[in-house]
Amino acid sequence: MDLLRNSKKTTVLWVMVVIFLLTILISLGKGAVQVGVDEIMDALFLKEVTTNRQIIWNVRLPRTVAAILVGVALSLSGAILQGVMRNPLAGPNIIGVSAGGGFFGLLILIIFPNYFFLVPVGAFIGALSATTIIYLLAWKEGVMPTRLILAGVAISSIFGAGNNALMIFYPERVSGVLGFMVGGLSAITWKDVNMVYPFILMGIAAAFILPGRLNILLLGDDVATGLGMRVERTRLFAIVISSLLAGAAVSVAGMLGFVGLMVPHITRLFLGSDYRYLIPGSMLMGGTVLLLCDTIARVLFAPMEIPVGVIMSALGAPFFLYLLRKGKGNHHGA
Amino acid sequence: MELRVSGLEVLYGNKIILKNIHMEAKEGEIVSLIGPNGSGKSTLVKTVSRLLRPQAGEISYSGRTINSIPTKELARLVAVLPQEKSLNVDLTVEQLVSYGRHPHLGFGKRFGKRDREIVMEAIRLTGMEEYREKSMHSLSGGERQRAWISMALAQQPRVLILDEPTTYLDISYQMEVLELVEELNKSLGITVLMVLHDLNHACRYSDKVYVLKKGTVHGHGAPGDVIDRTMLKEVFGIDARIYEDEVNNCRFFIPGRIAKEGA
Repeated sequence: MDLLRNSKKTTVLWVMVVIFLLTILISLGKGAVQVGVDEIMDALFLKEVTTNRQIIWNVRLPRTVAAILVGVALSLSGAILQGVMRNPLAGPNIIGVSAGGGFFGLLILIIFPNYFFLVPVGAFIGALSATTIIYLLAWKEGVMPTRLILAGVAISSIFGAGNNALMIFYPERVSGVLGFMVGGLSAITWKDVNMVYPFILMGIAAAFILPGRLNILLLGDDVATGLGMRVERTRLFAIVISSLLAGAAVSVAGMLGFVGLMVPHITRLFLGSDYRYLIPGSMLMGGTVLLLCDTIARVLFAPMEIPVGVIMSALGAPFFLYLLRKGKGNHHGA
Repeated sequence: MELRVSGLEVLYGNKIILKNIHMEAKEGEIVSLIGPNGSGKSTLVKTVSRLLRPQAGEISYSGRTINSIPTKELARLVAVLPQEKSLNVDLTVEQLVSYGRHPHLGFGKRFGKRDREIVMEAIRLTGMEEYREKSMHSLSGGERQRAWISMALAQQPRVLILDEPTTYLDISYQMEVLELVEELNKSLGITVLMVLHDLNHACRYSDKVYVLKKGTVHGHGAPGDVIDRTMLKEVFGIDARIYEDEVNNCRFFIPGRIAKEGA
């Protein structure tokens, strides 16, 4: 729709783009070795072989790209889910992506540690199957959002119990899986990035046809049906896209689901709940937030690293709460 | 466009909500459904607007059965305003009304100049021009209902279905909404089917009423023929006095007391 462009919101989006680009530069430059902006540019766009170029290309860039992809995917997934469920608490965790992905990842890491390279694939499959189970359980002449959320909570807790059982039976292997549990991006290589980006790009592409539909879905199932929308089909499509996005994210970064809950809300405080703005806004914000947190995670106690999941919750959550308190009552559930 | 319902049966689980319903709304008529709580009025409007699927019976719009009309096409012919509408949206009136164009858009058919004109016209018809850029949150109940009706008009429907359009509104807003519906019916020739709680409203604004009781049609016809002492006692269980209002040329009643069992 070309009508009703809101120039203020468009400006906010452009500001987000600028902040996003700046964050990329900061992320590439900061670390155990400091690299200046000019060197980053040289490294990215010239073919000269230098140590810094090696660092940028082989260490930082894959990680930066992964952080962006993961942040974008989780936030987008959360924004879509909050829309189709019309529930502010919806997020990738709710459709079982984190629990399912987490359990399968953990299962491989603990029981078959020699097959650790299968973790991303396993987590991805686990995430999607958990979503499928939850969707089927919630189905009864259509899927009611509330039932879906409750089924999600129940299934997640079953997987959670599985995780705990694994850790209790194999206490000696727990330290090796902590990174996966809290979510982190250390030791990311181009190989990981290559494995997930097709899914994430596919999800992003699909997400671009959703905003108009999500806006209408916010009016309620009955109104949406009255406007000629096939509500059930749209909801299934949106859930599949979200679980694809979040599943791919979990498979590289472990259990980082909180981003998916928080970022769409922060974005909504700035842009309102019109999905034509909220979707691109959440993507930009998600990439920025995760990248920023990951940079802090790398730099804060360098050369030691903190998992980004810890930074995310420790810094992100209070900031989120601050914004919520400050919000001028223009914050609506979904 | 005319609506015809025959032999309709609707169940929730094992419970029969509607049975053997026959109903007809002719082109350009205003038809009201009345009946006590739980008589199946809302279920009936939901079923004819395809929000619920019947177990048996047939619903047709101008001779086409409802299931043979694709979802989007149906939304171009029939606009529905359910009773429960989400308030959880920070939209301007204009945005909301523009959603009414949804069934006319599609792959390769984006919102264009013509759609914008139709949206503006819909806003004008409901007298909402001055609220065009206002947020839905800032409107009164009556204005909000008018905005929703605008959205329905932007669908350019031939049939308008309203489920209790006056609920929660003050008397002046109730009048405002019903006057608007009547005016749209007269000027655009839209067929109207609505659920009304207030029987005097039904008398005044309907060409025809259907009285529902426990999931069946108890009676139907012109309000003056249907709404009488016997019906009020049998269906609503009240004793009432019936009068004729010569100014508006319609019947009205004043409730007396609750009728005694078997009285």
